[in-house]
Amino acid sequence: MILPQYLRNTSPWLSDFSRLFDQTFHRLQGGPQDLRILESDDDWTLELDLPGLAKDELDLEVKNDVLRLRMKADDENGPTYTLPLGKRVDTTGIEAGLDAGVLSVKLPKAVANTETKRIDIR
Amino acid sequence: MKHESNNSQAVADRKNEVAEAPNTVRHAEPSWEARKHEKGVDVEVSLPGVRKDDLTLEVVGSHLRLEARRVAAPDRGQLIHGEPVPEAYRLKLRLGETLDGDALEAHLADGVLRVSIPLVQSARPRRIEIA
Repeated sequence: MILPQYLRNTSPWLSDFSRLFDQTFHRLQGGPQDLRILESDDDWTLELDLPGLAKDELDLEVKNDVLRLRMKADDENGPTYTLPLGKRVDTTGIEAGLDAGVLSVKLPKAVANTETKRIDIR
Repeated sequence: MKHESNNSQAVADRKNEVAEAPNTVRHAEPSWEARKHEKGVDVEVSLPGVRKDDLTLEVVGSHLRLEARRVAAPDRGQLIHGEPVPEAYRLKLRLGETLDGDALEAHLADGVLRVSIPLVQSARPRRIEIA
C-alpha cells in the first residue's frame, strides 16, 4: 500500500487548532501536508487524502474537545493524529465521510453565547 | 429550424471543448510505484478522489496512459489551510517490450489503482522438463 511520507510516522497534527482560527492563517508547520481546511459560514471541513484506506481501517473519535484520527495499520501501530478543537466547534454535530480515499470531516461552528446574562448582586 | 438547433449544439460542443482544454484543468502527476515479479509488473497509482467512471486507462503503442478526474467536491467554503487539490491526474508510463499490454488487468479501490501487467509469453520463465 502506498502511504504518503507524512502518514508513515506518528506526528502531532495541527498543534493547536484553536490558535489556527485566531491567527490570520499563516502556513502551519507540522500537520499532514495534504490536510485541507475549508471554512463556510456554518462549519469547517477538514479534508485529507488517504488513498488505499478503507472505512474500517480508520478510527475517528472526539473526546474532551480533541479530535483523534487513527489509521489502523497491520501491526496495530498506525499513525495517530490529534487535533484540539477548542470551544469553537460543536462537537456533537461532527460528521465524517470517506469517498474514494478522501476523508472529509465536517466540524459545525459552535454558536457563540453572546447573550448578556445579568447577575443579581445580593 | 432544425439547422439552427444543430448550430447551437455545435456551439455548445465547442464551448465544452474550450472548457475541457488541457490548459484550463489543473493536472498533476499522481504518485506511483512499480514492483517487478516473476510473472510481470504490478503498478500502484495513488488517485485520491477518483471514481471508476472518471478514470481512463489505455495502452497506446508501448505506453500506458492514464487520465483521471477527481470528484468535484461540493462547495464547502473557502480553503483556509492547505493546497488546492489538482482537478485531474495524468500519467504516462512506458511499457517494456517484455510486457504484454493487451493482457493487463486493473482495479480501482479506495483511491488506489492497481495495474498488473503480465510478461509476454516468450519472456516468462519456463520450466524445461527433462525427458
